[in-house]
Amino acid sequence: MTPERDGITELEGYFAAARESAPELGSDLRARIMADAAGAQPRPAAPVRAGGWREWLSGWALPGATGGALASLGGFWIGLAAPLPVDAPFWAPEALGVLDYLSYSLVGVIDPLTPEF
Amino acid sequence: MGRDSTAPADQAQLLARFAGGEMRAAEALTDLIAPRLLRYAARMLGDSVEAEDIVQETMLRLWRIAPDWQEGQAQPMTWAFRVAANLCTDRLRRRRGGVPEMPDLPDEAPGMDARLMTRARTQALQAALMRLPERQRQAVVLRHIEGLSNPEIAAIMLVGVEAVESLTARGKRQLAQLLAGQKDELGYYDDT
Repeated sequence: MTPERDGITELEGYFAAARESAPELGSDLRARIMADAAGAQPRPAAPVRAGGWREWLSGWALPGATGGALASLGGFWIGLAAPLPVDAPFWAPEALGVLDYLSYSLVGVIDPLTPEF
Repeated sequence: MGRDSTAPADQAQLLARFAGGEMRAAEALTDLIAPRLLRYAARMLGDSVEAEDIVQETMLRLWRIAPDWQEGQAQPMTWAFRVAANLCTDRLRRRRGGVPEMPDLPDEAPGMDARLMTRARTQALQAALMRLPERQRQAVVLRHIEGLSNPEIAAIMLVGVEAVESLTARGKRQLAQLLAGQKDELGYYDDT
């Protein structure tokens, strides 16, 4: 074995010694590393605050309220468009004529319940 | 990966679990990676206090990158070694002079206690390592003390496997020359 080869072979003894006496992770250093980890821990996203008007509009409330309002208007209209009873006050036809005028302006017919509608 | 290894996929999973809020995953990663970084940095710098700083800084960077860790990129262990290597390089560049003296070894080698012998050999090796060019030292430490494979070292040093083999071979030749004068003191006897 050449001297150079001999020297390289002997290096394994040095490497083994270095592995045997390697520094170990102390509790202080480990604690510092874990403290850093806790500090760097990603924060959970903040919960969305309930009750905002945007949420109210984007949820079920707006369609529900709209549907309810339209149903009420429809019922009101049906009630008005029904034939007047015989004992109705003398001014009732005149007052309902205003409503006929309004309905004609809005939907193009005087009475939406007539067959032409 | 070498000694006390954990499958690379497990390392990435641990990092993902840490990013998801699980501190136990951080503990497992610390126990897996930090001791090896400490050994590496201590051999590269020859200073245990500085080595601890390197380890803490490297692990902090790992925690910070955890939420953005991409599937399929370098494994956390490899990534951490790469960061530690760069930090060691920065420290070494800031030093002025500082080539260590070879240690003053005990005279009576045949009667030396085994523990003292191990310590003396470690000191002698450390002093010789510090005289190697940095890249050779890095390759020798990762290969022969940390026990990494050549492809793993290549991934850390961002070079090819052939370059790692060359750096390791040249480093070992130079180490052998540096340590040749201390064979008798360190318990290596010529029987011829």
